[in-house]
Amino acid sequence: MAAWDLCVSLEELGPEAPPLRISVTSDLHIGGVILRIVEKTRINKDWSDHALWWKQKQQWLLRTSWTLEKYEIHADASLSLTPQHKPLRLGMPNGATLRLRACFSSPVFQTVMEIGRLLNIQQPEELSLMRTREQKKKKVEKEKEGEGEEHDITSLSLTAGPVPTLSNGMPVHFAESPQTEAVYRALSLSQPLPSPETTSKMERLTNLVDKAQLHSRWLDSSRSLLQQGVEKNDRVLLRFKYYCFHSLQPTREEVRLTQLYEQARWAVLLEVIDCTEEEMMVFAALQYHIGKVSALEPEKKSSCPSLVDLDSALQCLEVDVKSSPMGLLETMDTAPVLHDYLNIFRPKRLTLRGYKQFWFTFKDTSISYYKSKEESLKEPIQLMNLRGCEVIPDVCVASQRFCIKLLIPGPEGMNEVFLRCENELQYSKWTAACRLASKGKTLADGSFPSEVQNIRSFLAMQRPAPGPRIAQTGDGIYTHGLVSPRYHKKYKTKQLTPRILEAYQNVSHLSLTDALLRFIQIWQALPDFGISYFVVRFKGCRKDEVLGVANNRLIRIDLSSGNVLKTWRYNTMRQWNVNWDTQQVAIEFNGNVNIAFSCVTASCRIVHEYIGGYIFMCTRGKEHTGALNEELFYKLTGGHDAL
Amino acid sequence: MDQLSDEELDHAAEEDSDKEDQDLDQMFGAWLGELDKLTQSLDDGKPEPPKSQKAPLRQETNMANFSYRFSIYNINEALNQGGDSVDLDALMADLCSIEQELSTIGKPNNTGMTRLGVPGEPKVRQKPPAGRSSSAKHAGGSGGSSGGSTSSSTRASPASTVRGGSVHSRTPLASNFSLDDITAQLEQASLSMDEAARQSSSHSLGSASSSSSSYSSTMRRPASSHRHHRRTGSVGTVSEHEARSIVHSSRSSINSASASSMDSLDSVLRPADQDEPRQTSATPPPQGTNQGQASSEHSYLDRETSLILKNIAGKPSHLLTKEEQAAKTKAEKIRVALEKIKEAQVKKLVIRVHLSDESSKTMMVDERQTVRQVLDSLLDKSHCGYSPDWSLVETINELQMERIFEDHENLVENLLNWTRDSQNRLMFIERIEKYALFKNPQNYLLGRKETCEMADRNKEALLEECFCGSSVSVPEMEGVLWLKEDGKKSWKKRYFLLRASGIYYVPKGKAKASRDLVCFLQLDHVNVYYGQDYRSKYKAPTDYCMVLKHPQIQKKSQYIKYLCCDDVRSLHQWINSIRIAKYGKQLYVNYQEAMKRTEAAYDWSSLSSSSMKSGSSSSSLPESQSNHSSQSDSGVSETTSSGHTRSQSVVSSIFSEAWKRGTQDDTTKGSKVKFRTAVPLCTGGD
Repeated sequence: MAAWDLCVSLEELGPEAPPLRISVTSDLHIGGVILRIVEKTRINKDWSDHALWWKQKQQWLLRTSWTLEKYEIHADASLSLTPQHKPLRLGMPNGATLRLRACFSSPVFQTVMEIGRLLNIQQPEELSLMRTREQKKKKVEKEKEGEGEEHDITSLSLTAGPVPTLSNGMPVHFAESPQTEAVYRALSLSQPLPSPETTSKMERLTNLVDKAQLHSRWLDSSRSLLQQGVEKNDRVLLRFKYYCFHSLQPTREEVRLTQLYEQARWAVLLEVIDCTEEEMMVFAALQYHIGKVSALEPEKKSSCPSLVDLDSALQCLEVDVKSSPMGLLETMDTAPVLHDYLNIFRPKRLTLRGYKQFWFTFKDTSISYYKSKEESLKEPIQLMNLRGCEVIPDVCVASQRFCIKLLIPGPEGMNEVFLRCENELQYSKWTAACRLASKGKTLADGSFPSEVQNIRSFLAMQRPAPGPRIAQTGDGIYTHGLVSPRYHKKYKTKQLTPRILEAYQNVSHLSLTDALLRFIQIWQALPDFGISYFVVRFKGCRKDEVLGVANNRLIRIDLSSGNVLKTWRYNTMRQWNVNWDTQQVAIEFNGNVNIAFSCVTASCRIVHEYIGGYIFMCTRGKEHTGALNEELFYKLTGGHDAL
Repeated sequence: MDQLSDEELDHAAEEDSDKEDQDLDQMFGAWLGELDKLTQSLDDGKPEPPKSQKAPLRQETNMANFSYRFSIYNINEALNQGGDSVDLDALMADLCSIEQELSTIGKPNNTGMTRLGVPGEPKVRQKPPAGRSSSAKHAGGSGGSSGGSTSSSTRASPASTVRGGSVHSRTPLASNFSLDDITAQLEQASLSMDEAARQSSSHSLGSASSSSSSYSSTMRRPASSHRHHRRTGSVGTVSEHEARSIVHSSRSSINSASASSMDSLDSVLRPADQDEPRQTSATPPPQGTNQGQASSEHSYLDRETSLILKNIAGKPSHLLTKEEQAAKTKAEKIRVALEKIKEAQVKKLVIRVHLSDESSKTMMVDERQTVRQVLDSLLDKSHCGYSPDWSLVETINELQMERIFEDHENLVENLLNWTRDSQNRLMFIERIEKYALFKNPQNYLLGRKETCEMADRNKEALLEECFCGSSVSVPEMEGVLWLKEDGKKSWKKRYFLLRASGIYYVPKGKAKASRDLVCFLQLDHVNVYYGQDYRSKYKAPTDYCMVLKHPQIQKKSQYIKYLCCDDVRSLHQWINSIRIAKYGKQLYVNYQEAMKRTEAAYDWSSLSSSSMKSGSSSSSLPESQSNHSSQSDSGVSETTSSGHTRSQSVVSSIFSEAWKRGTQDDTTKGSKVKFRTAVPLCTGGD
């Protein structure tokens, strides 16, 4: 067989070096080619990660037993021998950028699985990679600064087999150095609140077309990174792509949960997903709470876990021992009581707004008031049981207004009562007591002090900071970082704070993971949750419309008005076909319903992969088996390469 | 104990005052003044309509009358009023609990006796031992132990309709009774009554009562009521009272023995203190040991044990020293004792449940019971067949609205929202609306499409998808509804949307983008009710109205929101969607629980009758293999199986019918009214 020269370029030889030429015959297999090249370079290093890449065909030559002939490689081919794993800059949902080693030769699906394993993200099949927004050249330099800090963890690598984790949930490989530990903490704890400047700078997706554009950037899961033009050190985004989150178990899934929360938070803040004002306030309150609790978290982590365990065990016991007999005794005779002079106002028809001072006593779950302290042994003027009432803060630190609005349900309707306190401390105590009482808890309840503390710290947000200059900027940023730009424009800080405070009272008791879960749940309950938009043109229609792909259905949406025109559910779907030549997707549903559309904003491959991916997600078992049927995934989402 | 007898007298007077002869008045003259006071405090000034003295079922009519006037007695209000009525309530509740408990035990002996003739004896005979052995479970009816047999006793309970009974955290007073004495006497009394009961069935009353009266002063009063009772010849109610009084005194002995029931002791003892001197002098004044024991235990723990316990925390048990172990066991014991105390502090309520055939049942519930538990015991008692559609429905007459209680809700909590003089009713009734959502989810969860059929497998998948994810997806309900304007008679159209966070509407001139929506209501604090006949009451555009209000609001108020739908289908869709938004997965859990109960009943009844057909609605759920023996009761078998097959088949066919005829006006009503199964009660006569 005739021998011919094969050109192979090698990074290791330097950028300017000419490609190596080796003499091969067509029946030489790829393994042999690599061996010859390595011999020729005389560089002594570990070549095991290297593979041949065929530039013209954009193809990896990974089957070492295949011959050149079988790959149809001739003398005109320019190959390069290059490592399969290269550094990749990965934009995380929380805005941080990680520099890590990723596989450029395996399909993106596998690459993501590997990344998931490295970063300790469970169910990585729900994530995928997407390209960054295409930027104008001038801007690139600027933007780079705004991308947040970059963490380099290229040194980390994984061995096969299960990843052992430390007792605090950190995978062993992260515990190598303090730097990597810090990176893990950055991943598993939510980041501090963003400033409104960064929020306003970031891309906002206000209309359907913008949202559709976003989804055109997904990488193809069945092809490798290099095949899709992603080069070494390029930046791609890691995002949750399929919105059906399999068994969110917060115990061992810190990173997944945190990143999911971050993605949800940014979706809300950037108005990628629409919500109502009330929902926004709850989101804001949760963000505030999560931010506060995560700030405390590292201290907890650093102390020795075994000591913590012992401590908590002791505490539990103490509570047990105390709560049963003492609690009982307390309810019998010495329940704690709050009393003070407060002002009350009960709005009635045709009365002017006027507060009157009385002596108030808070006991169990009721407030009673008397003319004066001296008369407190007599019958109260009125006794109000606060069980089931609504407590609405009406507070403004700047103007020293500390009012509590109570809506106390009664057979005749809700009774409105306003209580006015003198100062912050008094306000915090009474509000906390009212809130507990509305839940049927008494002052004796263990959560009272922490509730008081929570209210005080929230009020501190409003209080002007010591330095007058910081006060101007500092506290404005704080609340405004919690809501989307729309609401900073609509409301002033002092209008916003009471509303967030009101929502906050319902979430202030949550632990970090519960708060994260709550945020995600509310996000999931939004009507527009989990819909990926594509501009398409239905067969037989003259105008563009929007196709929404959700985890259980396809939605046809009017482009201009955003109205839902029609919904098809996957479980009525019989089959779907993609015509790769005409770039058309045809779907058949039960009852002879056929639809066909071509994609405008994205390639039909992305739509196809989305639908197939959701169907794949449905096939995952209820119980966590761990092993994924990768074949099935490619079968459902791929297919176009075969042609 | 005279408080007790007053209680009885109260009832006796309620029923008999206008027809009893003068002897009675003379006999009880001494207490009548006080009685009047009590009666008034019970909000029961009206005289009873005259009744035929010998009519065996007069008790039933009596109850119906009463229940019409007021069906629940509000505990809190009663407490606030202080004094006598409170204690009466507490007594009533305690009595009932014991009675219920005992009747379960007493039932086997009861067979063969004429029920109306001697309801008292078998129970009394059983009482003291039962109380002793089961002080821990005397909360009655809380578990599954309150079997089917309770029905007979509760039906025979006095006409005083519903009373709440509980006293929380009061400092107990010293006892004026020697409880041990009473216990001993009671035992003897019961023994002799036992004898008497054996001798004759209907005429044993006299001997029993006289024997009991000879033992202690506390027994005298009941005995006298017996006498009166025998004389008039109308036996049912009064003898029941008598049984109760004895029951009660035995209760107090239980308390002292178990050192657990503070509240009941309290309630027994306090009235005694306030009473006339000759009553108190009749019994020697030793101290009640109950409170003393309990508190001494506490202090003991504080002094020594707690310290040791702190030290040993976390140590494996085999490393403990003897002392520490002793401390541990002590702590354990104390915990058990405390639990018992807690148990005893559980609020109990006697409720009246109305059936579709205008009859009613009285039963005892404790504050921890869920609607499901109450339903289960009602089903056990009423032999009406198991169907998941049986519901407890709250009807608020004054506002013309009703709501089906969800199975997971706490019944007592809901009932406590009723006002003292409330005309509200609690209905025990079969309602297909309750779980229609789960039987045909495609009509509710898929937006507002036309009614359609769906294979069971798909239904299940749909439910799974909707309810078993990490968050429940609220059906996308939106559309034009009529809203009644505050304080006006006019109804305005608005475009409403349901979201998980509440109900919103689109303000005028805006598109329905989320950010522009105005929050109409958040669902945390309101329940959704069906409005009834609002076309005539509020000039509503249609009859398909729903109401949203805080459960505590019982009267007309600006805080009640009235909405009106164009047709019955959208009404049901809205209401069910709101339920999903409010309760989420819990609803589905309730349904599965209810179906499990039904399945179990199927299995069980198919053993006793071979003519079982499996209902279509149940086919989607896995067969439950266990035979719940707790449900089976010797008296229930035939009635259950027959009633059950009928109601099941009827209901399933009706449901699909109902949806087909969705637009017809009377569909809902028809289904409500027609298919209330009027299964005859197991009345005292049969």
